[in-house]
Amino acid sequence: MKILYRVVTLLSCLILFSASLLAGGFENINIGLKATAMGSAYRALADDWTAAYYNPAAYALINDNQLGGNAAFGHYRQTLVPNFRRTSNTDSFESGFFNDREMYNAHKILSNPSGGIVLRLPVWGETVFGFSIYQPFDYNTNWTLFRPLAAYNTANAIPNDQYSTDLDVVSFQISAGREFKEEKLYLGLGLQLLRADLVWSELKFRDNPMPAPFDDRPYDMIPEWTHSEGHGWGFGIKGGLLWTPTDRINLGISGNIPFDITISGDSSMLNFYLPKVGNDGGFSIGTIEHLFASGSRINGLADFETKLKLPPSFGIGLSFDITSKLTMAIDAQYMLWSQFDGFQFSYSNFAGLSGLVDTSILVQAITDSTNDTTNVSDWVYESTSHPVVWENSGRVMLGARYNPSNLLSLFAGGYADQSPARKATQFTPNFVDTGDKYNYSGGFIFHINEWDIGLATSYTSYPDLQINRIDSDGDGIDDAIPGLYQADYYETVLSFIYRF
Amino acid sequence: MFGKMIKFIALSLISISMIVLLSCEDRGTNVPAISSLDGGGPWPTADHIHSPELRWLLSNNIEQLPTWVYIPQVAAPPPLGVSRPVPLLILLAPQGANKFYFAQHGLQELLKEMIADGTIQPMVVACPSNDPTFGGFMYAGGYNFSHPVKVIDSITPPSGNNDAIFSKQLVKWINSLGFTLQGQQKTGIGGFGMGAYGAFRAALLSDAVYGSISVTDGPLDFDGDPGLGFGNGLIDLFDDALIEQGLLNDSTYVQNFDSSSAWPISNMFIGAAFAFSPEDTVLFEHNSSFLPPPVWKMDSTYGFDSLSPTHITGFNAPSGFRFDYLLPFDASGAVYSPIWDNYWLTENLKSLIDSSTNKLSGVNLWFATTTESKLNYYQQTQSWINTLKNPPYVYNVTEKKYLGVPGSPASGDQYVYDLLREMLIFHSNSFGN
Repeated sequence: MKILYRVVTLLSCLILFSASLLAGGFENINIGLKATAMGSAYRALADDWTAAYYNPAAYALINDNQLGGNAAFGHYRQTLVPNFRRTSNTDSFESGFFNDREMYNAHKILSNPSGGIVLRLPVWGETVFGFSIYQPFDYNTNWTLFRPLAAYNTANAIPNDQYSTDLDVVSFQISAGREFKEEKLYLGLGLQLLRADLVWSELKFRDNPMPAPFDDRPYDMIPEWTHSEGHGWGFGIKGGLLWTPTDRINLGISGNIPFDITISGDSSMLNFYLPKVGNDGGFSIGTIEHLFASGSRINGLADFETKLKLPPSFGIGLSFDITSKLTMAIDAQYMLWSQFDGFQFSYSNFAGLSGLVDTSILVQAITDSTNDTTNVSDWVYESTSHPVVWENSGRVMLGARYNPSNLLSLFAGGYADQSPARKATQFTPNFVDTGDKYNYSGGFIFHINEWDIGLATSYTSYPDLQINRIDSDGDGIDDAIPGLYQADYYETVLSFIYRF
Repeated sequence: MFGKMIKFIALSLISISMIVLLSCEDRGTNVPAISSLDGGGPWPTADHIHSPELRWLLSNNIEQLPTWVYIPQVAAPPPLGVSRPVPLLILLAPQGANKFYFAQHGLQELLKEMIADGTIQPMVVACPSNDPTFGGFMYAGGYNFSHPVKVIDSITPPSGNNDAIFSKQLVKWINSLGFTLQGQQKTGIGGFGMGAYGAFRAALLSDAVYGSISVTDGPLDFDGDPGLGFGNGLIDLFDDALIEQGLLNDSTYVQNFDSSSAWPISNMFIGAAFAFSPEDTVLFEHNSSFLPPPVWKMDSTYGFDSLSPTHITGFNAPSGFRFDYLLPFDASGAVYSPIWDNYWLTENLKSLIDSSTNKLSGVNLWFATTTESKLNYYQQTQSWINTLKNPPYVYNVTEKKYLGVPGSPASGDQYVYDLLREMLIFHSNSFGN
């Protein structure tokens, strides 16, 4: 009991520590039915193929061979009331955002399948091996928040996926777990082949490089919509330890080190929506002045590359059999989100620009109202991605399992999660993480002969977050997209496990 | 046991179904529908010959006033519209701007959107060009015999008879096209910068033609009111004109004052001189080989003779020929009273309202004014507003004060788009039902 007391004390400290932090990230917290239903407090009692994710050492406790699969269905339900305007000390000027209006992310039920097989083999004595496929990181949202003000060429509509993120990191993992001290100590290791797929759209507002009157309102900011699709491969390592000091107590410790993944693609699009000045300003085709008064859309295609720096994590969990039917578990995890620095895109192999832009225009120089000079091509191809500074964050999870009979298991749990994105200046609709998140979960499994079939559902509550206008460089353009952010997340998991 | 399990399954499925139904309802994205746009459109070549009003205008051989006009859908003839007359708004551009000035700041798109969504009522909007010579003539100038103090002046000032055009002829011509409602309440005028002065001047010289006036900062009080903190108006500004040419404290400036378009403040003074001062630069009828004989000058003490005819198109002047013009300042740059008092201040709005028959009575007034305005227009505007708000007038003035965003101060045309939206709403309300 002494060890139990110490572990509980440690976890309690982590809980208190966590409460002082803010919330998030794009980690897929719930892998598998039991873990989902128990609020992911699963490190110390993972007893199915999902131990590959929570603690590979727990494989050693799996007595049967297993084949399992999950189908998770998630739904991000987010709301944003934008307040993105150009502001002076006393006035604000409309930007084209749907300000003061409740906007919703595009409705989508996300499916997230995963599965694995576990085999106990007579290797190194007896070792439990497993192969699993699951998504340790996943995020998906899509917003339409902007329409150019009257005066732009309305014939050139900006696509609906203005702020869109579809990030999937799939792990193909080989795991092994083995007993190292009889009924006391178990160790496990997982080797991950990671596949990352990214679809990213973003709307930025570029300073009009032309002098007055070309950059008079509302042409002062030129919308640039970028859309990138690509993928990359990488590796990761998972390791775990499971210690059973008594028959009723399990202590699990595990960690994950994913290595950087370079994501690249050859279909990055850069679209510029140029001002439409009446009568095309009276300028001749082929001049810069005409280009920036024509209301045309110029499109660029390029290869892109960005580095996905996934965060390492480590955690500790404790499970305790209160009775023969009831088990409680508590976990804590710390994730080094400071490793992640956003998506900084670098472009290459530009395929040229469509529309009214040709090589003769690209090499011409523009002098703006402050006498800064730049070439058209430099302006077009300027990298506009900005790094983010996320901070490490923690999570505390609590779960319970109750077996009323041999036919049925019931689960309940929840967690408190913290956000790495604590700087309001970095807040964009591409990642909506509004603060301390609280999750409430439950589920059940029927045990029918060799089959376990169940269902779990979870609800994650996000706090409302008001992002105020921040203009750190004093250019009159908000650094983030201010407004009132609200979010919830729902997930339902269907699961089966076949034992053989 | 089996029965309990069935109940449990049923309850679970019902609960989950409710969660799914309630939480996963498709709310859409709430993106507002794109409003239909007014089907009207611009008439960009609504250029009209005003003769003889523009016969004497420098650099305008065909006596034409270029004008851009927006005609809303309902005012157009069938099948596009229903030929329903609508109110008329005239917008006067600032110094140096042409008839596309407002169109280039989004006017057409604003009208299409705001008329369609009911923000404003349909209206015809006419945007005459400011004169390209010297950036404009303050929208001023009349036949000499209409202005007693100029009776001994030359036949007509070189700015043309703008007073007749903007106070009467332009509205009369547009009304004759059949798109517009007639009457003071249904006719408005607005202006930016120099156009602000033009709008008030036109309203004051007309006989109840305009029922609403909207302006931004402009040269609205030539001598300001230093006692009230409103500066000395154009008097202060003349130093800026000399500074921009590098002629401050240079007594030779009378001969070296450059009339080229490179110096916008100087140009404004020269344009105003042609509209207000007595001078000898007229008497040249277009398409005529007739050159002016030596003309008697009323006052040649400080006759500027630096205006090269090369700055004036359509005029083949003999070699060495130079026009004269009279600025109301002496060789030291101080006010020269004979010109200033007798010719310029008489054209100041404070003087015009005193001599006006209608005195803007019953006219709705709207100002957009900013401390960031260039050419001390803010102080002049405030002085003029002060005049209008105090006895003997005590008018109700709507005043919008605004500032530009960091890095983009409201010193010029940066916020025309935003102000246009508000001006249109103001006039739409003023037009009534």
